[in-house]
Order: sequence, then structure tokens, then C-alpha cells
Amino acid sequence: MPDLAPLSISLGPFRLRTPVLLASGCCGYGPELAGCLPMEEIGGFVTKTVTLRPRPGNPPPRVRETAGGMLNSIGLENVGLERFLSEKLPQIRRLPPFRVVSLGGYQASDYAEQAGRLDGQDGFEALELNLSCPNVAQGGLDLGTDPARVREAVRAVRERTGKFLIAKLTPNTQDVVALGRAAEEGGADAVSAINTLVGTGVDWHTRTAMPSPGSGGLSGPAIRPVALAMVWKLSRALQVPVIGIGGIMDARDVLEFVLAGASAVQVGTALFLDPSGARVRAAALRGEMDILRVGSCESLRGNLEKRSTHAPPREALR
Amino acid sequence: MAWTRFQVRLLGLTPAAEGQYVAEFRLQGPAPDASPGQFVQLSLPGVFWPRPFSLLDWEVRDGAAHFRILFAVVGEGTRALRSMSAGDLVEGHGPLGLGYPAIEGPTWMIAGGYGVAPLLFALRASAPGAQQSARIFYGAARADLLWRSPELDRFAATLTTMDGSAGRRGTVLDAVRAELDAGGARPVLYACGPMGLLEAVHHLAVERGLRAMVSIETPMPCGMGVCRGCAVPLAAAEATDEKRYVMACEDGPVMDSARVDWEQERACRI
Ligand SMILES: Cc1cc2nc3c(=O)[nH]c(=O)nc-3n(C[C@H](O)[C@H](O)[C@H](O)COP(=O)(O)OP(=O)(O)OC[C@H]3O[C@@H](n4cnc5c(N)ncnc54)[C@H](O)[C@@H]3O)c2cc1C
Ligand SMILES: Cc1cc2nc3c(=O)[nH]c(=O)nc-3n(C[C@H](O)[C@H](O)[C@H](O)COP(=O)(O)O)c2cc1C
Ligand code: FES
Repeated sequence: MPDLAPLSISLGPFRLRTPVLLASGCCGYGPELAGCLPMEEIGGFVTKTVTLRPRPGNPPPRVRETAGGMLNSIGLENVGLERFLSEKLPQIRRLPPFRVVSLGGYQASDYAEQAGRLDGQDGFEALELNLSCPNVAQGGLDLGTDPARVREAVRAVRERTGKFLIAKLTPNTQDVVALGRAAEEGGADAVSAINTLVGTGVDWHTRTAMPSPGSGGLSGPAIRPVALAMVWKLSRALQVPVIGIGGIMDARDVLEFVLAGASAVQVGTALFLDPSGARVRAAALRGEMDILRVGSCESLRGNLEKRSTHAPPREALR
Repeated sequence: MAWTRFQVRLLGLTPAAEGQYVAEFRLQGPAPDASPGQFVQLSLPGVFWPRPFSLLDWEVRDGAAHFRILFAVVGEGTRALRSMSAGDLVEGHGPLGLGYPAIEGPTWMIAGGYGVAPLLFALRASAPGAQQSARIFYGAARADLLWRSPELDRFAATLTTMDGSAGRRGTVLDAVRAELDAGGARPVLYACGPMGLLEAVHHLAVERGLRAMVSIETPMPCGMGVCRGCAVPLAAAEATDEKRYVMACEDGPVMDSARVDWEQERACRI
């Protein structure tokens, strides 16, 4: 393994081995991928979103390939908090940090109740609130798109937990910074962005909208520019660290997010193409840093500049 | 070793039937084991997800795993595969999934189209005694869509075509039904082919009180149970409020046809 020191980066009070975390819903509960992706060669992982009660998930077709990505409507299939505690957490405990448990719900009290149950537990370092569940929204209202409800949910959890608290933001909004500020006001220690963008595919054989609910969440490289723009904005507007997510496929993409101000990143869809995560592991990151002459991830963070809008005066050109 | 991320070198492409090819690969690096009914994920140029292909065989020679697949050109990914040349490298991972159980007692294999691949692997991999008690039925619409593998003669395959241009006229299931009617055999059915065929095999199995092991086909982004994208509706006997689906990639692709709610599956089919 290469020297990890230049790769390490601070996230709040934590020091991550590398900025790379595995994104929620793309690595099972974590242990599933540990057999093919050496966890010491990345920064950590986020579990599949857990809800109070188990969810069977949505009917098929749940996924659809798109240009440069995919649509999913898994429907938050998960084992529920009880089985998470009894079956999954003991396995997670055996993996190296940084371990994040993702929580989902329909209202602030769902998140708070779960956070309370988890607060006394060891074996993980942080909670991530999945505030946007576009494909399980009930009555069409997605809690995560309303700054007031985001603030309320984060605050309710904050009162019940001493764990590092990450609020995961939806991109399906006019103003992502307003959501980020709301999370910060609610007491979040960090925000992560972005979750998937709402999209629809067409199946011509059956003339039906894909995936099964008629729309799903778009992920993969197609959304990377959207994610970068939001992460850049958030990192300049907020006090708390930002975790960048969206379409990261390789080490260069990781560095782009760090340059745009991310303190860490999450890799999701890319894991389906290569579950060993070879292109984002320490060796790949180190190699790319050498090529780009980046001394350390920490020193790179937030250095993305706008191009000057003023053309140099004609005189200067002569 | 069970799973590996690999690079494979294409050793050659051989035309097998109209629009179908056999591709042979050599795996660079350590050789894992594989069994019949398992599949590999191959990353093909021009498409985003890797594509799953059932193994036609798997052999470790000179310290390297060699395997073949039988594929039909149906879209962008398989078109790209057909255009590749010997020596080209392809990334992928596997072997994945649960395959067919080892043959014990009378077993009838029912293949539609490229579904013949894992069934030939299962036959070849079984003990000579077990091979004696197995039969294979292989059907396609027309003669030119049947892959005339020399192994079909060796296993005395029953061929069928819809237009009678080769073997018996009718569907592969017509032939199986006729043979069941003719003798007192009570075989286990192993099937691989289009989902419509698998559903029909299931109904036949129920009607005759037989067991059927079928290989489910559905889009598979990850192939290893982490995306939860390849859900198959569970039959009422097994489904609960909390668990209504199994994953084709980790609980299959080969599973007992009685586990599937075929009515719901048909409604969800693409
Ligand atoms: C476990 C498993 C084993 C398989 N084994 C083989 C094999 O041995 N040989 C072989 O030729 N193919 C096999 N397939 C199917 C193969 O993966 C698809 O044909 C391939 O993905 C098509 O890719 P494409 O890019 O060429 O076509 P695409 O452009 O992706 O698709 C062409 C058409 O096929 C449909 N389609 C694509 N993939 C699937 C799918 N998996 N199930 C149902 N419909 C689909 C699309 O909706 C579209 O109408 C297997 C699939 C699975 C799940
Ligand atoms: C199949 C799939 C399942 C997902 N499940 C979850 C989930 O349970 N909770 C969550 O917060 N995000 C979930 N996501 C969103 C990802 O964590 C991530 O925010 C998004 O996919 C963008 O990153 P990517 O382009 O790297 O995949 C899921 C994404 C995919 C593709
Ligand atoms: S293909 Fe991802 S869970 Fe089956």
C-alpha cells in the first residue's frame, strides 16, 4: 500500500485515511463489499439507509440504464432497525472506521427515534440522515426539499445523539444552500450532497415509464457537473464541512470534488461497475496526485477558482 | 477463491448460429473456481453497466482460468462484443451467483436459445452416471437459430424448431410434454431461456408435480447483491410483509421456480 499520509484529510474531529467513502445504497451495509474492496485502502463507508421498520422495497423494474448513468427506484429496501442492530452492526463493528449509519424516515420523529436507539452503540462513528427519499415520498411530499422540515429533522436527531451528524441533501430543489443552512442551524456537523436527481426513462417494448413507479433517481457520471456545482456552492456558504457525492468514477473525480471544497467524497454507482473500487482506492489516488502534482488532499481542498471575468486590457497584450 | 475482479483476454469468437457467437476468454491472474449456472459480469465498450453472461464452461489450464460464453447480439453491448478481435482485453468480475445443483437422478434440461450454454456446462460437469440419467431438450424458432454444438449429439439432445426446419416441430416444451406423456419418468427440470419459457416450465412442473430449477434473467447492475436492483417477486408461500422479493443475482440466478410469483413477475417484465 502507498504512503497514506498525503491522502488523509480531516472531517470535523476525524482524520480519514483517504477522502473516499462508499455511498449509501451502493455497498450494502458495508461488510458485503469488504471481501472484494480492502477497507483500509479507502476512508470508510455509509450503510444502506435503515428505517424504523423493515421495507420490502419497490416492485421491479427497479433500475434502468441511461446515458452515462442509471435510474433507480429501489424503494429503500432494508432490514429495519431491529435486525440492523442484531445482525448488521456486529459485522460493521469489525470493520475499520470511518463507519456511517444512514437513517431514513417520513418525519422528524422517525429519525430521532432511531438516532436515540443507536446513540449508546459503538462500532460506528457517524450518522447520515437520508433526508430525500424521492422514490418513497408519501403523498408526493419529500421532507428533504423543505428547509423548515430539514431543520426540524436535524434538530430532533441532534437532541438524541452525540454522534457526528451528517445531513444528506437532495439536489431536487431551487436552492440547495437554503437546505444546507437549515441543516447547519439544526445542528448538523456536516452535510453531504448530492442524492439522486429525479428522472424518467421510457421502455418502448411496453410503452411504460421506467423504473416501476414511473420515475427514479438518476446517478452516475451524468450528474457529476450538477453535484460539483452544488458542492462548490455549499462549501463556500457553510461553516460545516461538505461531503461531495455524484458520479465519481475515478481518482481524478475525487480530486475535483476536494478542489471544489469537499472534505470527503462518496462513491456510489461506480461500485456496480467495479466492486473492488480499484480506480478510487489509495494507490489510484496517489498515482493521480503525482500526475497532477498535488502534494496532499488537505492542501488541495477548496482551491477551485472562478476564471477572471475581465479580459486583460489590450495594452497588456501588446 | 470464489470471486475476483479480472481482466480477460479474448482468445477468439466463433459464429454459433444466426446472430449468436461463442467467445472464449483467458483470465489474467489468479484463477477462481466456478460452477454451472454461475455467470460473469463483463464491461463492454459503449454501455454503462457491465453485462451478465452465463458460463458455457470454465477450466483451469496452465494456471489460468479459461472460459467460454454463448451470446446473442441483441443490443449495443453485445454488438460491441461481436466486433472485438482476438487479443482484446475486457474487464469484469465473477464468477457470481448460485448455479444448478449437481445432478442426482433423472434430470431433464430445457433450453431456449442461448440458454443452452449453462445447461451444457451442467451436463458436462456431472458424473458419467448422472449424465446417463439426464436428457436435454433444446429449441429455437428456426434451424439457423440453433447452435449445433458437437456436444448435442454426445448427449443425444432432442431439438425442436417452430417451423420444423430442424428436429421436431413445435416448442421445446411441446417435446418435453410429449416425452413425459410417453413414459413414466418423473425428472427434475432444469431450464434456462427467455422468462416466458421459464414461466411455462414452472406451470408444467406444477401440473405434473415436478420440481423445476430455472435461471432467472433480469438486468443486473452489480451482480453481487449490493444494489438491490434485480428483484424478483416471491411467491405467496414465501413472501412476508417485510420480504417480498429475492435478488436474482445472489439468491439465483438459478432458483426453484416455485419461489417466484410468476403472475407478478410477468407484469414487471421488460
Ligand atoms: C444471469 C444472466 C445470464 C445471462 N447469460 C447470457 C448468455 O449466456 N448469453 C447471452 O447472450 N445473454 C445472456 N444474458 C443476457 C445478457 O446479459 C443481455 O442480453 C445483455 O445484457 C444485452 O446487452 P446489450 O447491451 O447487447 O443489449 P441492451 O441494449 O442492453 O438490450 C437489448 C434488449 O434486451 C433487453 N435486455 C437487456 N438486458 C436484459 C436482461 N438481462 N434481461 C432481459 N432483457 C434484457 C433490453 O431491454 C433491450 O430490449 C444473461 C443475463 C443474465 C441476467
Ligand atoms: C441503487 C442505488 C441505491 C441507493 N440507495 C440509497 C440509500 O439507501 N440511501 C441514500 O442516502 N442514498 C442512496 N443512493 C444514492 C447514492 O448514495 C448517491 O447519493 C447517488 O447515487 C449519487 O452518487 P453516485 O453518482 O456516485 O451514485 C442510492 C443510489 C443508487 C444508485
Ligand atoms: S444486480 Fe445488484 S443486487 Fe442483483
